Amino acid sequence: MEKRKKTYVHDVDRGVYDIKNEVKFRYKVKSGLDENVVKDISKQKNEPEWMTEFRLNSLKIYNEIKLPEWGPDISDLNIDKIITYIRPNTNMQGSWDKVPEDIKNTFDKLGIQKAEKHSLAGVGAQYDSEVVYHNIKEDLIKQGVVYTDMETAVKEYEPMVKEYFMKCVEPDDHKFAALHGAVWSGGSFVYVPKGVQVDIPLQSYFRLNAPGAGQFEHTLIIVDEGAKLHFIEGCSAPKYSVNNLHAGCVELFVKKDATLRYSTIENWSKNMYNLNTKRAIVEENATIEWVSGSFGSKVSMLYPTSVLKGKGAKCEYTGVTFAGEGQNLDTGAQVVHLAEHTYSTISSKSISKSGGVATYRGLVRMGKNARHSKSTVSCESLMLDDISKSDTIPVLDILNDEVDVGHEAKIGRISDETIFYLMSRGISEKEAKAMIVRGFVEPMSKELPLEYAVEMNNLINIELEGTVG
Amino acid sequence: MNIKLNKVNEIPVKTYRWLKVNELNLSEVEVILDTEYKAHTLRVSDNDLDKVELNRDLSEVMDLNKFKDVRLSEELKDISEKNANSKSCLYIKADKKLEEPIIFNYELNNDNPSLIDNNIIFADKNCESTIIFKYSSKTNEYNFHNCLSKIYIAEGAKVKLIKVQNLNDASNHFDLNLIHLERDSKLDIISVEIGSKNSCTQYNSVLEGENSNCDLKSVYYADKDRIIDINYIINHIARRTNSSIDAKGVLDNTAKKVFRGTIDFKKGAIKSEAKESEHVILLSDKVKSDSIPLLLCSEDDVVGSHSASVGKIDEYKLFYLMSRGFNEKEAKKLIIEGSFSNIINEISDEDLKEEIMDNIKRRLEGDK
Repeated sequence: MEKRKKTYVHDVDRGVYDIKNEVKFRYKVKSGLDENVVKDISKQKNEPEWMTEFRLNSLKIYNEIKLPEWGPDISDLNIDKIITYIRPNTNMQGSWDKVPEDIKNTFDKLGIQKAEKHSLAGVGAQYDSEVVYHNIKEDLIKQGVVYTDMETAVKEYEPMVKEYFMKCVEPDDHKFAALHGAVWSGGSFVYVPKGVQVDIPLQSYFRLNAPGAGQFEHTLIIVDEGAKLHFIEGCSAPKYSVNNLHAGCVELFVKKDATLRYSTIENWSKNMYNLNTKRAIVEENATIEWVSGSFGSKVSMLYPTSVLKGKGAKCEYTGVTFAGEGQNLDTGAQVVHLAEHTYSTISSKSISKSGGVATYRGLVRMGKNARHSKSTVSCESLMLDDISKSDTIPVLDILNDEVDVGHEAKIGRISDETIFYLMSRGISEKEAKAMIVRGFVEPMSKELPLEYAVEMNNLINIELEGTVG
Repeated sequence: MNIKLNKVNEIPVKTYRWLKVNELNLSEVEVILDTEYKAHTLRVSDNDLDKVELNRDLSEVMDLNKFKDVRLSEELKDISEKNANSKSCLYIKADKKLEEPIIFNYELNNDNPSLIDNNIIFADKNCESTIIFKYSSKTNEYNFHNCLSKIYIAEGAKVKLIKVQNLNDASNHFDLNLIHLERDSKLDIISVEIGSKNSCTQYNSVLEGENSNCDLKSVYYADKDRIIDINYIINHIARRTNSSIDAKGVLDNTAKKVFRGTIDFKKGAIKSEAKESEHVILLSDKVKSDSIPLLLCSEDDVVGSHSASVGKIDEYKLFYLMSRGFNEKEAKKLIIEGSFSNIINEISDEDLKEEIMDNIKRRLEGDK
């Protein structure tokens, strides 16, 4: 049998994402995790007592819960070597001019300021453990939209935070949710009042600069009845030889008739353990739309969950995962249908190359009361060589008979015929492959604002460069 | 004696712990050990007698170490190895084509309430044969059944394996089949699970020879409080290997079902193809249906797909049949029979085919 020719090319420079700044900090806790570290963080933040208690209780839960028995191997992650809190040498600013030069330059190179001017209604920027910049357009403030960092929210919107904070993802949910509860820092708080339509997206960008550190930002979004929001989350970090940890938590409350689109372009460096928890509670006739691009990190375990609680609630998930050398990206969507006439559509695409492992792991649960509900899941995997791995692990869990649930998955390589066809039209083999991969992820690009679609294409180009399947 | 069974039908790759679908754990299972089993009949047609050897020691011709990946609880494995009360060896000679099916007929009755069968089958090069295993109860008392079969399909051999289980509503049924396929061989499996309280079935095939094929078709019908637990695993090791899993089921009353179907393309399984599908019809709002169709892949030059669909009977089909003058009940019956008959029609033994269809019809009749 003929042997197909294969060339393996190592990863190229990741450009702006790899810019390292000198680590300047105002305060950091010692590495590791114990009661004193947690108390120290809470004291630094000058938090109300209930939050300190909450943190200590979460720590207790963290120590009791075992690591998951499934999924990627995370035994290499040693929490005793992770610095859980590192405060950059600045306060939160409302103007880029006041942000220290090196930090400002980093965000500038990542295109944040430019995007803010042209296509965003508000921006939050987090550097290591604290938010360094937060700003929102005047007219949104007038309409009562709140967009601020979590620390400010705990103080200024205390009753609302107390009502919602870690009620959607509780600390006893899993080990890293408990860890998050204990050491969370930074993140964004958004409240969109009844009936307010935020037409231009808000964006929070999370940058982890310090080696051996952890980022535990908390994003809490409440979209009130009939309101609409598009929120974008971006993440990146330069590569270090030590492990970094990201255990953020995203809690979304989508009230009656509201719509929330939550887009993520995640591009952590390949020394990052990305153990993030995202969950939305969706009320009557409300819609949650997830757009999720996973490109970076060493290990990802990320399963955005939608709880369709109200009658007529809808969920749409579009995800692309690109696993290259040394990466084990375990992603997927979970949908729990709890009410009548609820609908979910999940579309996942994954690409693996150069020894990367891409796994789709998902769940559709139709509860007892989810009569007349419908769910469609489709997963496609593309493997670019035979040293990579691609697994599909869905679960359909059905508890009533008036439902319609379908799951489909396909796996394979780029067919020689397709490449041959494109080459016969004068396109080089390399370009043909890139075209096919771009076409493969096109449904995802379509969901993103133009600037981000361009960024995603660039990321794919970075990842694909030199690859000859 | 009641024992606890852990990790029955363990899935090859685990997923979320809270769903409790990675394996089946049973806290109290009545096992009946140390009783004899004497009701076994084996039918080989007179014309085929010289083409097979029964009770030959097969350990010299086949390497039993090849059947190591046992995803059944340690307890059940132990029982199969130490307490077997029915041991069969079947050797089908090379190049022989059997004219009629070989039928292993196991009846459980008051004198023989427990069957622990340990079977080894060796289908030698280029032979052709159909082998039927039939398990049924002739009593309403509790029956315990634990089967371990090791099946070796040699180069070029073509075997059809039909297993039908129809034990009574109180029984426990554990059925583990370890299968090894050599070059250019082909195995068709038809599995029919329509009885017993707990039915735990596993087919674990290893496609180790180039261009080997394994097609698995299965039907399950679970009403009352039955529990169906399925674990199908097909490992593609060699190049140009093909497989398919096609499962069709109906759940009614308070029945529960877990379907685990794994297709695993190992590195080196170049140009292999596999398809997997499961279709479940739900007839009651108290059933529980879990489907976990796994597609694992370490080789890029393969084509794999899986699909699963769960729901009530297709309304358009129902509407069509009702517009032709059938009432709803009749229409439902027809659709379910139609869905099953595709697979059941492949059973080459007419009596057995009729028996199964009658059983399903009768139960659908009594329903609603």
